[in-house]
Amino acid sequence: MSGLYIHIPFCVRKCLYCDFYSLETMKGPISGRLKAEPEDQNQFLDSLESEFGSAPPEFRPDTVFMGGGTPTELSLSDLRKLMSMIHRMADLSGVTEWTCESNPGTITREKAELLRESGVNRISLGVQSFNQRNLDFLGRIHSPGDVESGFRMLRETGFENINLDIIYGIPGSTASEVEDDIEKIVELGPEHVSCYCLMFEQGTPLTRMLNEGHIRRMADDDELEQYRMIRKLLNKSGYTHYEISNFSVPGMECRHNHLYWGDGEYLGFGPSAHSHWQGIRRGNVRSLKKYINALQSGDSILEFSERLDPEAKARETLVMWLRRLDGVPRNKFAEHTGYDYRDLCSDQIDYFKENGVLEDRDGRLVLTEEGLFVSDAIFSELL
Amino acid sequence: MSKLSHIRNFCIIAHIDHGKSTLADRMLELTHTILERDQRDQYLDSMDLERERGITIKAHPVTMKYISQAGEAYRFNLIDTPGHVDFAYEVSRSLSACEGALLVVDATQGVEAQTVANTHLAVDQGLVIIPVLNKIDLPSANVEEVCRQIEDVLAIPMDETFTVSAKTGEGVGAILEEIVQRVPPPTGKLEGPTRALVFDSTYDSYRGVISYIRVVDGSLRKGDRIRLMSTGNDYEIKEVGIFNPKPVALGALETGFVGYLTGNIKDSTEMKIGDTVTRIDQAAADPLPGFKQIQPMVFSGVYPVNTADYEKLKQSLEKLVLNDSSFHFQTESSAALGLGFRCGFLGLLHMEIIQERLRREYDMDIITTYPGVIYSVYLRNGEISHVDNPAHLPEITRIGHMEEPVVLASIICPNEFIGDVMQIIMDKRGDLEKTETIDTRRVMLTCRMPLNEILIDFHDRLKSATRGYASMDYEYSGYQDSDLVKLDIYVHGELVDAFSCIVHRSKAVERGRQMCLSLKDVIPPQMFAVPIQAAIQKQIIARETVRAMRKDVTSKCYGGDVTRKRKLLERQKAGKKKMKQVGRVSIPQDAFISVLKSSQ
Repeated sequence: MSGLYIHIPFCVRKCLYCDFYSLETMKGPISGRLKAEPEDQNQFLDSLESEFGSAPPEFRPDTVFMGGGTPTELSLSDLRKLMSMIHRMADLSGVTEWTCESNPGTITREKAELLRESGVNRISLGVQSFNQRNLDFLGRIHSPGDVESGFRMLRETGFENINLDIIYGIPGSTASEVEDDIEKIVELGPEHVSCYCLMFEQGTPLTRMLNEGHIRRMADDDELEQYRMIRKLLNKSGYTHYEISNFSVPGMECRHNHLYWGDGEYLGFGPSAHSHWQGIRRGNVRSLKKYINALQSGDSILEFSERLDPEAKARETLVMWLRRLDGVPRNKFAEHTGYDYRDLCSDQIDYFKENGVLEDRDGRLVLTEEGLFVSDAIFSELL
Repeated sequence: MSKLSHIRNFCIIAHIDHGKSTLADRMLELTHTILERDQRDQYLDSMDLERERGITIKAHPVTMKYISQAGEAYRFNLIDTPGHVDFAYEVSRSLSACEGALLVVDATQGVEAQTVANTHLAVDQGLVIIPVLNKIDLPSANVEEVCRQIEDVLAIPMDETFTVSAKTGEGVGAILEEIVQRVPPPTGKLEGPTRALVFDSTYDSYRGVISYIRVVDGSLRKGDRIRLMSTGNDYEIKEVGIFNPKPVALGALETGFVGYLTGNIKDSTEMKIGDTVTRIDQAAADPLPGFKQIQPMVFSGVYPVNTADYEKLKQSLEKLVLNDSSFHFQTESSAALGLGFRCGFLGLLHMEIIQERLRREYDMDIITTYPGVIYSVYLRNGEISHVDNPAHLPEITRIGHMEEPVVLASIICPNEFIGDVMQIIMDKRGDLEKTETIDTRRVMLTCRMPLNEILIDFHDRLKSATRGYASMDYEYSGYQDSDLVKLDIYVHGELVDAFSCIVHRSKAVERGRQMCLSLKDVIPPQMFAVPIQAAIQKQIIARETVRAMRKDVTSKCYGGDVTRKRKLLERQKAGKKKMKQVGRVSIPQDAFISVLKSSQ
């Protein structure tokens, strides 16, 4: 199994909490964030094609994921160019899942049809909230109404596998607003739901507002209440909680994300894209300009590359696998990493089991429900 | 006329901020000892800390040449005394090097507790007192009233009081003349055995110990072989001289002179304050009276925040001790804080100064434990144990009874605050012995109270209860029987030795509760609920619970950037490693600092 990731580093406007690499295409100093320069925008696809050219010949992805940024922020013609380039450059014969991220404000029927015709069979829509005040807080460009119309349009275009992203833990939001969000989602009936807790990442406007005292973090207890409610409501409506942040109707788990959590292989293209290939993790530069220049002059586009020693790698795998709610099968883990996890950290595992945050279940090491909420504290000890 | 008749040795005693150093500056100026353009305010206070706190810690003598109105030249030796009760012994040694004292009182403030204490010390030493009313240039000066206070409280006739403004210099000339008239000249023997009093010393990395001395009998010159009478150690004088105000080497220090000597003395602990220097070829039979070994009264553990800095801390303490032999330290170890030192200080101010110097001059990050005193523990088997560290308290079953040091404190405060001050004295287990009227507005309360009660927040509470108007002084007053207990703190069932302290039984519950509460605030939530308990002999007297961590989860996966996620977790792990592990509980370093601080 392997995956292909393509990073499209453009957004109409960057959301206030976001720290993924992307440039704003909207004119004017609205958010004070980095703007995309038209010549770089024009160069981007050519550069991407030239990076594609360096892919190993044996690369034959099972999944494709187009993320960003906002892939659907590309113009219809650029999007068409991108799709035909992917078909030209990669062997897609084994692809079973092809996701494109989108934003309810930028997806049009023409773009959706183009994606569908080009082989995309899964759309991930950044909904975040159905509450206008919360959307404003996050700096989103769409309205709750856009989500419903966009979703219906995607269904009409033939997408049978749709993910909706929502964010909880938004300062000022209430449990009943989150309850409304989930009700709306259930009403729409996507195949997959990702729920992320709002994070204050370094360097984002939101974090600046926090540090300057304009906003306050939500109390842990309130965040927890929202998380529990989301779990409860989605479970009740037939969704399975299969990863810390992810829910799906049975059989519709995101295969591409499994490669990330499961120590799978993937190649990422585009600025700031990450790859994991033959035991090496690599990261591309977080700058469109540098990315373009390096590709033109034949320099390295890598910002980082590492190969972990086998034990560190095994620990990393253990922690990533534990994100899955069905846990880590002991045999499979040993087969994959060459280590028995009990040899790596039996003291810690026993200690966490005593405290009821980890448990053994049918030969698997699994986070308990309580463990789910404190998983970082567990993971940091297992590394 | 003998050689001695034109020498005057005197000091200035005053309450903090009453203008001692400013008056000294004006005298140096009037006698042309320093030029006005070299003037730096408060010339004699050489340490930054002294300048900041407006107090003199280290005495520094200075010699001036004064031409009297009769046209005769006098040698004035001004011996600056440390202005704090912690240094009472040093004060007494400085005073004994003088024949007279200027008593400076702020005309806007009046007599303060310290003024009273120091005047009594000076009178006990038989010094002639010249009262000086300072700051008469200020509109709020109340000359008549303060003169009356000096007469009432200190029994010094009003008509002897001089009025000056040290700031403008008004009246300072008259004081110089009065010193000639009233302070008697020294009375030592010019010939025969030599005796010189060591009243202070300092340390210089090139010259070793520099002793400040007053030659009482005979003389000392470069090259003389000398002996320190308390230790019997012999040295050869490398240099003698006076401060003018900078050191000036002389061929000899004659009878009655005040100056310094150096002589390859490597360690300030060899040169004890109050010791007598004699010449081997002119040896004195008896030392000068009044020498005492000074003993630290207040103790505290000092630990490096970063355990790797232990050696650096040790070196810093060694350097400090070279300068200040009244400060003691020895290695101790704590299960919670690692390797550190038990340090002994003369008093609370001395402790603060040393800790502050470690931080500033030696750039050390330190944690200091709850300050304590030396308890006398009488064991059932008849032995007596002196305990300065709660960890060393013998088993309770072996203890017959315990005694703690007490002080006699005098507190001056405005009448309207008597009630509040008496309440604080009671809270601090003090016994009021007498109440005296200072003037129509103020009273002086004299009370006996345990030293360890003064260590914690007595002074702050006194100041805040009286809006800063109260002043306090105290002297050590022996030991008294006391019902003391060792208070232990348990975190998740494990004893944390750094938090243990010895307290009076009546204070144990309150203090235990306080410590549990502050710990609860600083210990971050753990995977499980953590009980924090205060106990006396394992019997729980207070308890708080740090609730279990509820939420610590990063939902976001950072796309394919697994490395970033891993690094965040690794950072979390490293942060936890920096904490002190007590059993399974991670206690941040800050917790120790803030808890120990909140209790002081």
